[in-house]
Amino acid sequence: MTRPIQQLSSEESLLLAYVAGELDGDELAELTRRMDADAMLPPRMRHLQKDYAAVMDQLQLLDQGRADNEEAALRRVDRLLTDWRIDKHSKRVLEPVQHWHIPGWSYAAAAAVLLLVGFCFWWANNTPQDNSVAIVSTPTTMPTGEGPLASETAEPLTPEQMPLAFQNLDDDNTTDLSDLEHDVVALSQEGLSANNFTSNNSQ
Amino acid sequence: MTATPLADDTDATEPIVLSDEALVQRLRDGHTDAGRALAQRYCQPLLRYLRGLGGNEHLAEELHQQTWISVLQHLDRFDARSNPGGFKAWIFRIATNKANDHWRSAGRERSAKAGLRLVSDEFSPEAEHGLQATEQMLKLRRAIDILPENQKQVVLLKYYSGLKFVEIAQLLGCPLNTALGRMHKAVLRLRQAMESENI
Repeated sequence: MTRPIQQLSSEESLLLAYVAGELDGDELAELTRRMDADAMLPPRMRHLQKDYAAVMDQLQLLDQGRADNEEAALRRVDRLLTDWRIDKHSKRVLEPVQHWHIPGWSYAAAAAVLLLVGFCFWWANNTPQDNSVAIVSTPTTMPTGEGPLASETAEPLTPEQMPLAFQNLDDDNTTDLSDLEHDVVALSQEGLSANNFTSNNSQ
Repeated sequence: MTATPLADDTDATEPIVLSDEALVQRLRDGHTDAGRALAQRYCQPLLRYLRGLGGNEHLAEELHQQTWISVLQHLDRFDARSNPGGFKAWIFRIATNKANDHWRSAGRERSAKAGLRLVSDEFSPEAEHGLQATEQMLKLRRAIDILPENQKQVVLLKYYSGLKFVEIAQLLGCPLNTALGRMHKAVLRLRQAMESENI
């Protein structure tokens, strides 16, 4: 906490802190230094000291002429304390029931965990297992009779290259793709004949 | 005022003196005798402080009760380390807040009541005590009544709680310089009022 003398901007406040006996050793030394430097300060302090003491004395006299109703106030507090103790005790008795209370955030956490597990399961079942599918898809770039000629769009496979293209396929896939294999061979042959046709025309 | 004898449960033959903080701890543990000891310790200064603020015996009792309700509700939050003035500063702060809340909620009626109080003082039962008192005291009483609220709070807090100005400043949430300035103005005004012929 900041010491008073560092916070006091006015001399009246400093004098009042002194009159109330709230300055410590260093602060008293500082005040003494100021009083030595300023001749007006000691009489001001004495005046304030007199006023402060007079007000405090009068407040004390004022209280002596008043009757307090302490007993009634204490009885009220006593009743409050009794009610408070009963209330506290009843809360303590109910406490074990509250152990079973499930916090609200646990529902959201459980839902999030379920979603995460579901996503992992879905992801595991939908990952591509073999890159050979990419090779199978190459015939889609082959000419189908519409659009540009095969010689202009894709390099046709030679009959010697065909079996190599299907070497990596599994046995199951081989049976499924047997029709597609025939189509690819037929299309490559068509590509060869088209090349022959264009070379004949150019001659 | 910080330590009064309290008959301890463990040793009924010899009363021991417990500090406010020890009594608060016992009260937290459910010992209502500690609460009674605290209430007894601060009943008179609190009642007088609240009466000084409100100017009314019944209102002071009502605010005193509200203060204790609040004390019991927030007892677990009380931390002696964060309150330089300890339990005393804490309970006086609660009482001040209760009085402020009361005046805020009854703000419109306040000026009318204050006016009535000044007029009816001569005829109220309290005024009978006043008639026996010196003229000087009556002047002081009226001078306190017409002090600005913030100055009145500082004067009454200083007198009834005995807290240091640093603690009072913290209690009221204002700088130390402001608290001392208010006290200085209040002392000058009260002194002036007591010296004047008519107030």
